[in-house]
Amino acid sequence: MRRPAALFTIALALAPIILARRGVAQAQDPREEGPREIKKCQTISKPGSYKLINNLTTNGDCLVITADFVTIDLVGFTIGGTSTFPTVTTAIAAGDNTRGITVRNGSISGFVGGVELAGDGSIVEGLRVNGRILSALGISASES
Amino acid sequence: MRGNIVVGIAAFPGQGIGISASGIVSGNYVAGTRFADYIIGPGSTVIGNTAVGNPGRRIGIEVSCPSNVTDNTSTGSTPGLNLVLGGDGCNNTNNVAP
Repeated sequence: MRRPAALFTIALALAPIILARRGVAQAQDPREEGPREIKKCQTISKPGSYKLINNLTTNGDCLVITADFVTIDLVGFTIGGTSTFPTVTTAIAAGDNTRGITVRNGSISGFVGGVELAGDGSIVEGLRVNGRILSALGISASES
Repeated sequence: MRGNIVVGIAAFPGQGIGISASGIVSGNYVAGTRFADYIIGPGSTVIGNTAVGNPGRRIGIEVSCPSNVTDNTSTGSTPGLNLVLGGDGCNNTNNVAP
């Protein structure tokens, strides 16, 4: 008769630990998260979906992608460059060792290069790129 | 690459590229470059794009063949070429490129 009561006591004691671990596991599951928010220029080194939550401004490169399979939605916001000649800057750049990059839905202005995705499997859609004096490239991407 | 607008890529005279791409390139608009509005790699499908000339621009749309090039408009390359198909095997259909 005392054994069930002991088990019940143990279960009660362990419940908070089990629930806490489960909560951590859920928070780390990217399938249950929305796009990660971008509020400033940065290097993106993890795959996944991202979205801007405000306009971004910089005098250097803005979003540098080093991971595969990254999707960035500008959600209508603008990435603005403020550098002057001869500084060479790019709004969104990914090296030729990346693949599967998607960029969509927003504006870019004031950079020497707008979007430069050097790897394969890239999609660029719904962007407006405004150059400035001595801008050299609007968008470069290879879908195949 | 779909539905993008690129304007004012005004590098040094004779330089500046609006869109450099391969794959499906459709419904884009480029104006104001000083070298080429579009440089497209082989094996691409290029449909419904617009290239608007800029004083001194050399090329409107340049496509490496084989590719399908259909329903594009490229005007205003004076002097220069509105549509350049490099190599053999391009399907050139219904493009406006005087």
